[in-house]
Amino acid sequence: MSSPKPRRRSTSRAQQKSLKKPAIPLYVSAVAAGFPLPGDDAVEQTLSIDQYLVQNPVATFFVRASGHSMEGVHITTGDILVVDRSVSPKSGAIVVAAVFGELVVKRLMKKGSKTLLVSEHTDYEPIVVEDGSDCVIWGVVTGVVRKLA
Amino acid sequence: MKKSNAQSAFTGLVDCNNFFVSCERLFRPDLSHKPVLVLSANDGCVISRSKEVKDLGIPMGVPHFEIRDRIKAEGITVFSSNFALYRDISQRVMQTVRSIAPDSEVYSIDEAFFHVAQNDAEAVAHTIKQRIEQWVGIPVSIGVGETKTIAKHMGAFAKKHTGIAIISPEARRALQAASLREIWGVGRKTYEKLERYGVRTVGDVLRAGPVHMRTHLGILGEQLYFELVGVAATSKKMRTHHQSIMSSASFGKKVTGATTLEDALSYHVAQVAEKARQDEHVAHDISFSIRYEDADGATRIHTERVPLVPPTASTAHLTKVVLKAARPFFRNSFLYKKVGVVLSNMTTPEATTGSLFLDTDTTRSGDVLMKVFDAINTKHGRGSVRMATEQRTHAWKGKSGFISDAYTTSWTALPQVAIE
Repeated sequence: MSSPKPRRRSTSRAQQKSLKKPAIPLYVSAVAAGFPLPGDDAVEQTLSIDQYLVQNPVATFFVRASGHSMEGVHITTGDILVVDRSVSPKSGAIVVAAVFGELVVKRLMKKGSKTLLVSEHTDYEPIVVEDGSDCVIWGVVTGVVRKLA
Repeated sequence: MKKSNAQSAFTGLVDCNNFFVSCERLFRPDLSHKPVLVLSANDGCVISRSKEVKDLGIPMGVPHFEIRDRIKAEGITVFSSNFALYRDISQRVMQTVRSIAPDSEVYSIDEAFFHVAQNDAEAVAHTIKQRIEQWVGIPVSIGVGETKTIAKHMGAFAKKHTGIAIISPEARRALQAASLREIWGVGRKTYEKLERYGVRTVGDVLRAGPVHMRTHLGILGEQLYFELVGVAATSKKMRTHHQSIMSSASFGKKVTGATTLEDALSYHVAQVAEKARQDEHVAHDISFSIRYEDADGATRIHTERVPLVPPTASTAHLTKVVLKAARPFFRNSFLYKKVGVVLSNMTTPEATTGSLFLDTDTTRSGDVLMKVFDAINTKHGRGSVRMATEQRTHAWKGKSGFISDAYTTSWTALPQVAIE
């Protein structure tokens, strides 16, 4: 019963601290007397495509797509798919699923209480995901990477 | 004097279930519920077994050649060790633990301890288990108790039964009846010594008390008593980096030739140095050992420790030091069997005391070189840049005939998924 108390106190202490102490930006060049370099008031930052594509590195895996293309979502053979296992799959999401022992890319559809794995191709029947069906959602595809040259 | 329950800290142990097998299964869903085993370096013996393999009665550590027929008959899938994969997955597991319990420490490639308030123990353990299994895809067991020793014991119970086991009055009664043989840190010799005093179970230790345990076993006995009574005795100091780093391997076959030995030593130095740099540590000592047959056919082992002044993690510097010290053992008449390299006495670079004779500028430029070195190897694969003495002829390197792909560490080996 008394356990949340110390935590609440420590949170508020942390908040006070953050209020008192403003964030200090990191400048690129060493501080020197005299006229500052123009543009040096900008905080150092570079863009990283990793950061853009990967929200949760611990749960993110890269896989390579092969087979038919999914034109609706612009995925084609050779593409690297960014798969995040920590994202909960919503209806309409592109997912990697383990279907009868194979990793496949499908679109997830929720219809009422049913969860379906739908193919872009008419050759494949939709698969119902249920307990004990040997179909498991492996992760959600959150990005596609392709090199053009 | 009454101590609030909310204040008492519990220790938990997260343990990955048959870790290497679980890593192999991650990208091979066809192998779930099928018998799978992983072999040690050189495809020597069994080091990880799926539940199905355990149920077949195949023991840990059995040599591969002894079970070839059974592997065939039972349709067991065999893998060579894929440490690039295991290390990557291990780091993900550890980071996930840390995301929930920041006060945690890596104990081995597949185990981590964490500290948690008693009242939160159950919720935290469930969150950790659920999150690792969802985020990383590796099944784990969690044991929780007052001390590491009790957590470890509960972990073993959790693995067999419920997945999560937390010390309770009932579990404590079971613990008291448990043989010391099942207790973490009690080796065969220790057990035999205690048995002579009639101390066989955890209950016996508690009845003996700290003073008697100290008389029987010295400080270790007293520590064991406190660990089992529920007062943390092992050092509470968090260890987040390796105390020492080792790389060694038996040769797949006995090899001759000074250049092969040079190649192998350079390879192991590169391995340990890279790990040290990942930890952002430097070593104060490096040791190497060479097992060989001399010209008369006698097996000999030479082990040597070389202090490093200044302490370093530079592949270039360490290679130079080791090869110089090992020079007398480069004989074409020797048959080399095994070599190993150990970095020890690791500290942060800041913690090293400067030397008057030290050319700091050289060390600095060495650091920059190693940063570039590591960056290239991460991008293009380990070994893309290396010391010239590491020739990668790998004449010395053993078998790994069943190795899976570097799924998570090489762009050219990503797992394939079918677009349907």
